[in-house]
Amino acid sequence: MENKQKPQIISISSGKGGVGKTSFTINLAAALSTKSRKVLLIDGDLGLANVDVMLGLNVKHTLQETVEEGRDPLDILVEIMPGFFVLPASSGVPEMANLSHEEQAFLIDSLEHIIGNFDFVLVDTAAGVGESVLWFNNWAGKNITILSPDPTAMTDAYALIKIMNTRYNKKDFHLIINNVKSKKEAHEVFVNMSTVLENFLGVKPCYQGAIPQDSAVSMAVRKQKPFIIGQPKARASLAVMEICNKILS
Amino acid sequence: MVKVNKQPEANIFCDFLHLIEEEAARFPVELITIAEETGGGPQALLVMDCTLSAKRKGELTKALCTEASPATERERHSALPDRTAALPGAEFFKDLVQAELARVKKSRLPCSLLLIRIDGNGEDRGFFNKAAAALEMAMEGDHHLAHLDHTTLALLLPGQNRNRALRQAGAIQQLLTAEITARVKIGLAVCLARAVPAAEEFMEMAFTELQKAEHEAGDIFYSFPSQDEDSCQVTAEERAQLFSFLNKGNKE
Repeated sequence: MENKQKPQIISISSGKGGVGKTSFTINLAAALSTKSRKVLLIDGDLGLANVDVMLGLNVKHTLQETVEEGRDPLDILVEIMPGFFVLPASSGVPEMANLSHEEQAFLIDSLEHIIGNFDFVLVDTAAGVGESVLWFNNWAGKNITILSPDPTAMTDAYALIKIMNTRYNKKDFHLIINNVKSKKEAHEVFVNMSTVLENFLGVKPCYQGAIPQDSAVSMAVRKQKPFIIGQPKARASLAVMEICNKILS
Repeated sequence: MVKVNKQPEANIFCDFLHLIEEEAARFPVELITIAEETGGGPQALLVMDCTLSAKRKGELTKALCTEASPATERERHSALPDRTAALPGAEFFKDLVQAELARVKKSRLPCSLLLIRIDGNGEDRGFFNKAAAALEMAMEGDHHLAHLDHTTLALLLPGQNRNRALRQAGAIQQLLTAEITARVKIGLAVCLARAVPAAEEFMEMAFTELQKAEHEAGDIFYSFPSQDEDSCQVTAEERAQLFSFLNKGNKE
Protein backbone atom coordinates (compact mmCIF):
# COMPACT_ATOMS: atom_id res chain seq x y z
CA MET A 1 0.00 0.00 0.00
CA GLU A 2 1.22 3.52 -0.71
CA ASN A 3 0.74 6.66 1.28
CA LYS A 4 -1.85 8.60 -0.74
CA GLN A 5 -3.72 11.19 1.29
CA LYS A 6 -4.27 12.78 4.65
CA PRO A 7 -7.07 10.98 6.50
CA GLN A 8 -9.23 12.38 9.24
CA ILE A 9 -7.76 11.18 12.55
CA ILE A 10 -10.37 10.91 15.30
CA SER A 11 -9.58 10.03 18.90
CA ILE A 12 -12.31 8.54 21.05
CA SER A 13 -11.76 8.99 24.78
CA SER A 14 -13.78 9.26 27.94
CA GLY A 15 -11.56 9.63 30.95
CA LYS A 16 -13.53 7.05 32.90
CA GLY A 17 -13.48 3.40 31.85
CA GLY A 18 -16.59 1.41 31.01
CA VAL A 19 -18.39 4.30 29.37
CA GLY A 20 -18.57 2.58 25.99
CA LYS A 21 -15.59 3.88 24.04
CA THR A 22 -14.54 0.63 22.46
CA SER A 23 -18.07 -0.49 21.64
CA PHE A 24 -18.85 2.87 20.07
CA THR A 25 -15.56 3.04 18.15
CA ILE A 26 -15.97 -0.42 16.66
CA ASN A 27 -19.51 0.36 15.57
CA LEU A 28 -18.55 3.75 14.18
CA ALA A 29 -15.74 2.13 12.20
CA ALA A 30 -18.15 -0.50 10.87
CA ALA A 31 -20.72 2.18 10.04
CA LEU A 32 -18.16 4.30 8.15
CA SER A 33 -17.02 1.26 6.18
CA THR A 34 -20.61 0.48 5.15
CA LYS A 35 -20.57 3.97 3.62
CA SER A 36 -17.67 2.91 1.39
CA ARG A 37 -15.05 4.62 3.50
CA LYS A 38 -11.76 2.96 4.29
CA VAL A 39 -11.32 2.97 8.05
CA LEU A 40 -8.39 2.13 10.28
CA LEU A 41 -9.19 1.48 13.92
CA ILE A 42 -6.14 1.70 16.18
CA ASP A 43 -6.46 0.08 19.57
CA GLY A 44 -4.95 2.90 21.60
CA ASP A 45 -5.19 0.99 24.87
CA LEU A 46 -1.69 -0.25 24.21
CA GLY A 47 -1.20 -2.30 27.35
CA LEU A 48 -4.72 -3.54 27.98
CA ALA A 49 -6.29 -3.89 24.57
CA ASN A 50 -9.95 -4.80 24.06
CA VAL A 51 -10.79 -4.14 20.42
CA ASP A 52 -9.66 -7.63 19.39
CA VAL A 53 -11.76 -9.16 22.18
CA MET A 54 -14.86 -7.22 21.20
CA LEU A 55 -14.44 -8.31 17.61
CA GLY A 56 -13.67 -11.94 18.45
CA LEU A 57 -10.24 -11.78 16.83
CA ASN A 58 -7.42 -14.15 17.46
CA VAL A 59 -4.55 -11.83 16.65
CA LYS A 60 -1.05 -13.03 15.92
CA HIS A 61 0.73 -9.70 15.87
CA THR A 62 0.20 -6.46 17.78
CA LEU A 63 1.53 -2.93 17.96
CA GLN A 64 3.93 -4.15 20.62
CA GLU A 65 5.97 -5.70 17.79
CA THR A 66 6.01 -2.38 15.96
CA VAL A 67 7.39 -0.64 19.03
CA GLU A 68 9.79 -3.35 20.13
CA GLU A 69 10.90 -4.92 16.87
CA GLY A 70 10.12 -2.25 14.31
CA ARG A 71 7.56 -4.47 12.56
CA ASP A 72 5.69 -2.63 9.82
CA PRO A 73 2.13 -1.87 11.03
CA LEU A 74 0.90 -3.07 7.63
CA ASP A 75 1.92 -6.59 8.68
CA ILE A 76 -0.24 -6.29 11.78
CA LEU A 77 -3.40 -5.01 10.11
CA VAL A 78 -6.46 -7.21 10.41
CA GLU A 79 -9.33 -6.75 7.97
CA ILE A 80 -12.65 -7.11 9.78
CA MET A 81 -14.92 -6.43 6.83
CA PRO A 82 -14.44 -4.64 3.51
CA GLY A 83 -12.96 -1.24 4.29
CA PHE A 84 -12.66 -1.83 8.04
CA PHE A 85 -9.15 -2.58 9.34
CA VAL A 86 -7.87 -2.94 12.87
CA LEU A 87 -4.42 -2.42 14.36
CA PRO A 88 -4.59 -4.54 17.50
CA ALA A 89 -2.58 -3.86 20.64
CA SER A 90 -1.37 -6.15 23.38
CA SER A 91 -3.11 -7.05 26.60
CA GLY A 92 -1.38 -7.40 29.94
CA VAL A 93 1.80 -5.60 28.89
CA PRO A 94 2.39 -2.69 31.28
CA GLU A 95 5.50 -1.56 29.36
CA MET A 96 3.26 -0.71 26.41
CA ALA A 97 1.11 1.50 28.60
CA ASN A 98 4.17 3.55 29.58
CA LEU A 99 6.12 4.14 26.41
CA SER A 100 9.15 6.37 26.53
CA HIS A 101 9.02 9.49 24.39
CA GLU A 102 11.38 7.87 21.88
CA GLU A 103 9.01 4.92 21.58
CA GLN A 104 6.02 7.22 21.26
CA ALA A 105 7.75 9.15 18.48
CA PHE A 106 8.67 5.94 16.75
CA LEU A 107 5.13 4.56 17.01
CA ILE A 108 3.52 7.75 15.71
CA ASP A 109 6.05 7.84 12.87
CA SER A 110 5.28 4.22 11.97
CA LEU A 111 1.56 4.97 12.00
CA GLU A 112 2.03 8.11 9.90
CA HIS A 113 3.51 5.93 7.19
CA ILE A 114 0.38 3.87 6.73
CA ILE A 115 -2.56 6.11 7.55
CA GLY A 116 -2.50 7.72 4.12
CA ASN A 117 -4.16 4.56 2.85
CA PHE A 118 -7.33 5.32 4.78
CA ASP A 119 -10.14 7.85 4.79
CA PHE A 120 -10.59 7.70 8.55
CA VAL A 121 -8.31 6.71 11.40
CA LEU A 122 -10.14 6.06 14.67
CA VAL A 123 -8.12 5.75 17.86
CA ASP A 124 -9.85 3.98 20.72
CA THR A 125 -7.76 5.32 23.59
CA ALA A 126 -7.25 3.82 27.02
CA ALA A 127 -9.28 4.96 30.00
CA GLY A 128 -7.73 7.55 32.30
CA VAL A 129 -5.46 10.43 31.46
CA GLY A 130 -2.21 8.54 30.98
CA GLU A 131 0.49 9.66 28.56
CA SER A 132 -0.79 7.54 25.68
CA VAL A 133 -4.30 8.98 26.03
CA LEU A 134 -2.91 12.49 25.92
CA TRP A 135 -0.57 12.06 22.98
CA PHE A 136 -3.15 10.14 20.92
CA ASN A 137 -5.60 12.96 21.58
CA ASN A 138 -2.93 15.47 20.66
CA TRP A 139 -2.16 13.56 17.47
CA ALA A 140 -5.80 13.40 16.39
CA GLY A 141 -7.35 16.21 14.41
CA LYS A 142 -10.74 15.58 15.93
CA ASN A 143 -11.36 14.67 19.58
CA ILE A 144 -14.52 12.82 20.51
CA THR A 145 -15.26 12.51 24.22
CA ILE A 146 -17.85 10.00 25.37
CA LEU A 147 -19.65 10.41 28.63
CA SER A 148 -22.70 8.98 30.29
CA PRO A 149 -25.17 10.72 32.58
CA ASP A 150 -23.47 9.84 35.84
CA PRO A 151 -21.28 12.07 38.02
CA THR A 152 -18.05 10.08 37.68
CA ALA A 153 -18.23 9.86 33.90
CA MET A 154 -19.03 13.56 33.64
CA THR A 155 -16.22 14.57 35.98
CA ASP A 156 -13.66 12.40 34.19
CA ALA A 157 -14.73 13.59 30.74
CA TYR A 158 -14.47 17.16 31.97
CA ALA A 159 -11.03 16.50 33.49
CA LEU A 160 -9.76 15.03 30.23
CA ILE A 161 -11.02 18.00 28.23
CA LYS A 162 -9.51 20.36 30.76
CA ILE A 163 -6.09 18.73 30.42
CA MET A 164 -6.21 18.72 26.63
CA ASN A 165 -7.29 22.34 26.63
CA THR A 166 -4.87 23.58 29.29
CA ARG A 167 -1.75 21.68 28.33
CA TYR A 168 -2.23 21.05 24.63
CA ASN A 169 -4.27 24.09 23.72
CA LYS A 170 -6.99 21.95 22.11
CA LYS A 171 -10.19 23.85 21.64
CA ASP A 172 -12.56 21.68 19.59
CA PHE A 173 -14.23 18.85 21.43
CA HIS A 174 -17.08 16.68 20.23
CA LEU A 175 -19.31 15.09 22.83
CA ILE A 176 -21.26 11.87 22.61
CA ILE A 177 -23.65 11.05 25.42
CA ASN A 178 -23.91 7.30 25.81
CA ASN A 179 -26.41 5.10 27.57
CA VAL A 180 -29.15 7.72 27.86
CA LYS A 181 -32.80 7.06 28.69
CA SER A 182 -34.05 9.63 26.24
CA LYS A 183 -32.99 12.36 23.85
CA LYS A 184 -34.14 14.84 26.47
CA GLU A 185 -31.70 13.40 28.99
CA ALA A 186 -28.88 13.51 26.42
CA HIS A 187 -29.70 17.11 25.67
CA GLU A 188 -29.70 18.05 29.34
CA VAL A 189 -26.35 16.37 29.95
CA PHE A 190 -24.82 18.10 26.94
CA VAL A 191 -26.16 21.53 27.87
CA ASN A 192 -24.90 21.12 31.42
CA MET A 193 -21.44 19.96 30.33
CA SER A 194 -21.29 22.63 27.67
CA THR A 195 -22.15 25.34 30.21
CA VAL A 196 -19.42 24.24 32.62
CA LEU A 197 -16.85 23.98 29.83
CA GLU A 198 -17.71 27.42 28.57
CA ASN A 199 -17.81 29.02 32.01
CA PHE A 200 -14.50 27.66 33.25
CA LEU A 201 -12.44 26.91 30.17
CA GLY A 202 -14.02 29.04 27.46
CA VAL A 203 -14.53 25.89 25.40
CA LYS A 204 -17.65 25.43 23.31
CA PRO A 205 -18.07 21.71 22.61
CA CYS A 206 -20.00 20.29 19.64
CA TYR A 207 -22.86 17.89 20.13
CA GLN A 208 -21.91 14.81 18.13
CA GLY A 209 -24.89 12.70 19.17
CA ALA A 210 -26.31 10.35 21.76
CA ILE A 211 -26.69 6.60 22.06
CA PRO A 212 -29.72 5.26 23.93
CA GLN A 213 -29.76 2.44 26.46
CA ASP A 214 -30.23 -0.67 24.37
CA SER A 215 -29.89 -4.36 25.18
CA ALA A 216 -28.50 -4.85 21.66
CA VAL A 217 -25.27 -3.26 22.87
CA SER A 218 -24.50 -5.77 25.63
CA MET A 219 -25.69 -8.61 23.40
CA ALA A 220 -23.27 -7.52 20.67
CA VAL A 221 -20.39 -7.45 23.18
CA ARG A 222 -21.17 -11.04 24.16
CA LYS A 223 -21.45 -12.09 20.51
CA GLN A 224 -18.22 -10.21 19.73
CA LYS A 225 -19.77 -8.54 16.73
CA PRO A 226 -20.66 -4.88 15.99
CA PHE A 227 -24.33 -4.25 16.79
CA ILE A 228 -24.81 -2.15 13.69
CA ILE A 229 -24.05 -5.31 11.68
CA GLY A 230 -25.83 -7.87 13.90
CA GLN A 231 -28.85 -5.71 14.69
CA PRO A 232 -28.93 -2.81 12.26
CA LYS A 233 -32.44 -1.79 13.27
CA ALA A 234 -31.67 -1.55 16.99
CA ARG A 235 -32.00 1.91 18.54
CA ALA A 236 -28.29 2.03 19.33
CA SER A 237 -27.45 1.09 15.73
CA LEU A 238 -29.62 3.86 14.35
CA ALA A 239 -27.98 6.32 16.73
CA VAL A 240 -24.48 5.29 15.63
CA MET A 241 -25.50 5.60 11.98
CA GLU A 242 -26.78 9.08 12.71
CA ILE A 243 -23.43 10.00 14.27
CA CYS A 244 -21.64 8.41 11.31
CA ASN A 245 -23.67 10.53 8.87
CA LYS A 246 -22.91 13.62 10.89
CA ILE A 247 -19.18 12.89 10.72
CA LEU A 248 -19.41 12.35 6.98
CA SER A 249 -21.36 15.52 6.44
CA MET B 1 23.33 9.41 10.90
CA VAL B 2 24.41 12.17 8.54
CA LYS B 3 27.33 14.37 9.37
CA VAL B 4 28.20 17.65 7.71
CA ASN B 5 31.50 19.26 8.52
CA LYS B 6 32.65 21.84 6.06
CA GLN B 7 33.72 25.45 6.05
CA PRO B 8 33.67 27.01 2.56
CA GLU B 9 31.66 30.19 1.98
CA ALA B 10 30.03 30.79 5.36
CA ASN B 11 26.75 32.18 3.98
CA ILE B 12 26.27 29.40 1.47
CA PHE B 13 26.97 26.86 4.15
CA CYS B 14 24.50 28.54 6.55
CA ASP B 15 21.84 28.51 3.85
CA PHE B 16 22.58 24.90 3.16
CA LEU B 17 22.25 24.01 6.85
CA HIS B 18 19.03 25.98 7.01
CA LEU B 19 17.60 23.93 4.14
CA ILE B 20 18.54 20.72 5.91
CA GLU B 21 16.94 21.96 9.13
CA GLU B 22 13.70 22.79 7.33
CA GLU B 23 13.62 19.43 5.63
CA ALA B 24 14.53 17.63 8.87
CA ALA B 25 11.57 19.19 10.68
CA ARG B 26 9.37 16.73 8.78
CA PHE B 27 11.16 13.74 10.22
CA PRO B 28 11.65 12.33 13.72
CA VAL B 29 15.21 13.49 13.98
CA GLU B 30 17.17 15.62 16.36
CA LEU B 31 19.53 18.33 15.15
CA ILE B 32 22.57 19.59 16.96
CA THR B 33 24.41 22.54 15.47
CA ILE B 34 28.07 22.86 16.32
CA ALA B 35 29.29 26.43 16.16
CA GLU B 36 32.60 28.18 16.51
CA GLU B 37 33.78 29.16 19.93
CA THR B 38 34.29 32.76 18.83
CA GLY B 39 30.62 33.09 17.99
CA GLY B 40 31.03 32.67 14.23
CA GLY B 41 28.75 30.64 12.00
CA PRO B 42 27.95 26.97 12.40
CA GLN B 43 30.59 24.45 11.47
CA ALA B 44 28.66 21.25 11.49
CA LEU B 45 25.21 19.83 11.91
CA LEU B 46 24.52 16.48 13.49
CA VAL B 47 21.29 14.82 12.38
CA MET B 48 20.30 11.99 14.65
CA ASP B 49 17.47 9.52 14.74
CA CYS B 50 15.42 10.72 17.71
CA THR B 51 14.33 7.17 18.52
CA LEU B 52 17.86 6.31 19.60
CA SER B 53 18.31 6.00 23.33
CA ALA B 54 19.82 9.00 25.08
CA LYS B 55 22.82 6.90 26.04
CA ARG B 56 23.49 5.95 22.42
CA LYS B 57 23.05 9.55 21.28
CA GLY B 58 25.54 10.68 23.87
CA GLU B 59 28.03 8.05 22.71
CA LEU B 60 27.62 8.99 19.06
CA THR B 61 27.85 12.72 19.56
CA LYS B 62 30.84 12.35 21.82
CA ALA B 63 32.57 10.10 19.31
CA LEU B 64 31.79 12.41 16.39
CA CYS B 65 32.91 15.57 18.13
CA THR B 66 36.13 13.97 19.21
CA GLU B 67 36.78 12.54 15.77
CA ALA B 68 35.66 15.33 13.49
CA SER B 69 36.45 18.59 15.27
CA PRO B 70 39.75 20.37 15.16
CA ALA B 71 41.75 20.32 18.37
CA THR B 72 40.43 23.62 19.71
CA GLU B 73 36.86 22.64 18.97
CA ARG B 74 37.41 19.33 20.65
CA GLU B 75 38.75 21.11 23.71
CA ARG B 76 35.74 23.38 23.82
CA HIS B 77 33.23 20.58 23.56
CA SER B 78 34.98 18.23 25.85
CA ALA B 79 36.49 20.73 28.30
CA LEU B 80 37.52 17.86 30.47
CA PRO B 81 39.52 18.21 33.61
CA ASP B 82 40.75 14.70 32.94
CA ARG B 83 40.17 12.59 29.83
CA THR B 84 39.34 9.57 31.98
CA ALA B 85 36.10 11.24 33.02
CA ALA B 86 35.03 11.36 29.34
CA LEU B 87 32.25 13.84 29.95
CA PRO B 88 31.15 16.55 27.57
CA GLY B 89 31.84 20.14 28.56
CA ALA B 90 29.62 23.16 29.16
CA GLU B 91 29.25 24.35 25.56
CA PHE B 92 28.26 20.97 24.25
CA PHE B 93 25.93 20.46 27.18
CA LYS B 94 24.15 23.69 26.30
CA ASP B 95 23.50 22.26 22.84
CA LEU B 96 22.05 19.14 24.43
CA VAL B 97 19.81 21.23 26.69
CA GLN B 98 18.63 23.19 23.68
CA ALA B 99 17.80 19.99 21.78
CA GLU B 100 16.03 18.54 24.80
CA LEU B 101 13.92 21.66 25.31
CA ALA B 102 12.87 21.49 21.67
CA ARG B 103 11.82 17.94 22.30
CA VAL B 104 9.82 18.93 25.38
CA LYS B 105 7.79 21.23 23.13
CA LYS B 106 7.21 18.42 20.67
CA SER B 107 6.63 15.49 22.98
CA ARG B 108 4.88 17.49 25.74
CA LEU B 109 6.89 15.54 28.29
CA PRO B 110 8.84 17.40 30.97
CA CYS B 111 12.56 17.41 31.52
CA SER B 112 14.69 18.21 34.55
CA LEU B 113 18.12 19.70 34.97
CA LEU B 114 20.31 19.11 38.01
CA LEU B 115 23.42 21.11 38.77
CA ILE B 116 25.50 19.21 41.28
CA ARG B 117 28.26 20.99 43.16
CA ILE B 118 30.75 18.69 44.77
CA ASP B 119 32.81 20.30 47.46
CA GLY B 120 35.36 17.81 48.65
CA ASN B 121 38.99 18.55 48.22
CA GLY B 122 39.56 21.96 46.66
CA GLU B 123 40.14 21.60 42.94
CA ASP B 124 41.50 18.07 43.06
CA ARG B 125 40.55 16.77 39.61
CA GLY B 126 41.02 13.13 40.49
CA PHE B 127 38.56 13.50 43.31
CA PHE B 128 36.07 15.28 41.08
CA ASN B 129 36.39 12.69 38.32
CA LYS B 130 35.85 9.91 40.83
CA ALA B 131 32.54 11.52 41.74
CA ALA B 132 31.58 11.87 38.06
CA ALA B 133 32.47 8.26 37.37
CA ALA B 134 30.49 7.03 40.39
CA LEU B 135 27.50 9.02 39.25
CA GLU B 136 27.71 7.84 35.64
CA MET B 137 27.92 4.24 36.86
CA ALA B 138 24.86 4.60 39.06
CA MET B 139 22.63 6.39 36.55
CA GLU B 140 19.93 4.40 34.83
CA GLY B 141 17.61 5.42 32.02
CA ASP B 142 17.81 8.47 29.77
CA HIS B 143 20.27 11.08 30.98
CA HIS B 144 23.09 13.37 29.87
CA LEU B 145 25.89 14.03 32.31
CA ALA B 146 28.35 16.84 31.69
CA HIS B 147 31.14 18.69 33.38
CA LEU B 148 30.45 22.42 33.86
CA ASP B 149 33.44 23.63 35.88
CA HIS B 150 35.98 22.37 38.42
CA THR B 151 33.35 21.53 40.99
CA THR B 152 30.04 21.28 39.14
CA LEU B 153 28.39 18.50 37.20
CA ALA B 154 25.25 18.99 35.13
CA LEU B 155 22.72 16.23 34.69
CA LEU B 156 19.88 16.48 32.18
CA LEU B 157 17.00 14.07 32.74
CA PRO B 158 14.65 13.84 29.74
CA GLY B 159 11.05 12.96 30.53
CA GLN B 160 11.46 13.41 34.28
CA ASN B 161 8.98 15.49 36.25
CA ARG B 162 9.59 17.28 39.52
CA ASN B 163 8.94 14.34 41.83
CA ARG B 164 11.10 11.92 39.90
CA ALA B 165 13.89 14.44 39.59
CA LEU B 166 13.73 15.25 43.30
CA ARG B 167 13.93 11.55 44.15
CA GLN B 168 16.85 11.25 41.77
CA ALA B 169 18.55 14.26 43.38
CA GLY B 170 18.14 12.72 46.83
CA ALA B 171 19.61 9.44 45.64
CA ILE B 172 22.55 11.22 43.98
CA GLN B 173 23.29 13.15 47.11
CA GLN B 174 23.29 9.98 49.19
CA LEU B 175 25.46 8.17 46.69
CA LEU B 176 28.11 10.85 46.39
CA THR B 177 28.20 11.54 50.09
CA ALA B 178 28.73 7.84 50.78
CA GLU B 179 31.13 7.10 47.91
CA ILE B 180 33.47 10.06 48.12
CA THR B 181 32.59 11.70 51.41
CA ALA B 182 31.92 15.02 49.77
CA ARG B 183 29.56 17.85 50.58
CA VAL B 184 27.00 17.80 47.77
CA LYS B 185 24.64 20.64 46.90
CA ILE B 186 22.06 20.34 44.15
CA GLY B 187 20.07 22.92 42.24
CA LEU B 188 17.19 21.57 40.19
CA ALA B 189 15.04 23.15 37.49
CA VAL B 190 12.05 21.50 35.86
CA CYS B 191 10.75 22.39 32.42
CA LEU B 192 7.15 21.76 31.43
CA ALA B 193 5.82 21.84 27.89
CA ARG B 194 3.51 24.78 28.51
CA ALA B 195 6.40 27.11 29.31
CA VAL B 196 9.67 26.11 27.73
CA PRO B 197 12.45 28.59 28.49
CA ALA B 198 15.56 29.22 26.41
CA ALA B 199 18.48 26.91 27.18
CA GLU B 200 20.47 29.67 28.93
CA GLU B 201 17.47 30.65 31.02
CA PHE B 202 16.81 27.05 32.00
CA MET B 203 20.40 26.59 33.07
CA GLU B 204 20.26 29.89 34.95
CA MET B 205 17.17 28.67 36.83
CA ALA B 206 19.05 25.60 38.01
CA PHE B 207 22.09 27.72 38.86
CA THR B 208 19.98 30.06 41.00
CA GLU B 209 18.68 27.05 42.91
CA LEU B 210 22.22 25.75 43.31
CA GLN B 211 23.25 29.05 44.84
CA LYS B 212 20.33 28.85 47.25
CA ALA B 213 21.45 25.35 48.21
CA GLU B 214 24.92 26.68 48.93
CA HIS B 215 23.88 29.63 50.99
CA GLU B 216 20.73 28.50 52.73
CA ALA B 217 19.85 25.59 54.96
CA GLY B 218 19.13 22.46 52.94
CA ASP B 219 21.09 20.68 50.23
CA ILE B 220 18.58 20.46 47.40
CA PHE B 221 16.61 23.39 46.02
CA TYR B 222 14.34 23.37 43.03
CA SER B 223 12.48 25.65 40.72
CA PHE B 224 9.16 24.58 39.24
CA PRO B 225 6.55 26.49 37.21
CA SER B 226 3.69 27.73 39.36
CA GLN B 227 1.35 24.94 40.43
CA ASP B 228 -1.74 27.08 39.96
CA GLU B 229 -1.06 27.82 36.32
CA ASP B 230 -0.28 24.24 35.48
CA SER B 231 -2.87 22.42 37.54
CA CYS B 232 -5.69 20.68 35.73
CA GLN B 233 -7.35 19.59 38.94
CA VAL B 234 -11.13 19.75 38.63
CA THR B 235 -12.09 22.32 41.25
CA ALA B 236 -14.94 22.18 43.73
CA GLU B 237 -16.70 24.95 41.79
CA GLU B 238 -16.44 23.04 38.52
CA ARG B 239 -17.77 19.89 40.16
CA ALA B 240 -20.62 21.73 41.78
CA GLN B 241 -21.71 23.10 38.44
CA LEU B 242 -21.23 19.74 36.72
CA PHE B 243 -23.46 18.05 39.27
CA SER B 244 -26.06 20.81 39.41
CA PHE B 245 -27.90 19.11 36.58
CA LEU B 246 -28.08 15.86 38.54
CA ASN B 247 -29.16 17.61 41.72
CA LYS B 248 -31.88 19.40 39.80
CA GLY B 249 -33.06 16.02 38.47
CA ASN B 250 -33.11 14.57 42.00
CA LYS B 251 -35.19 17.45 43.35
CA GLU B 252 -37.70 17.09 40.54
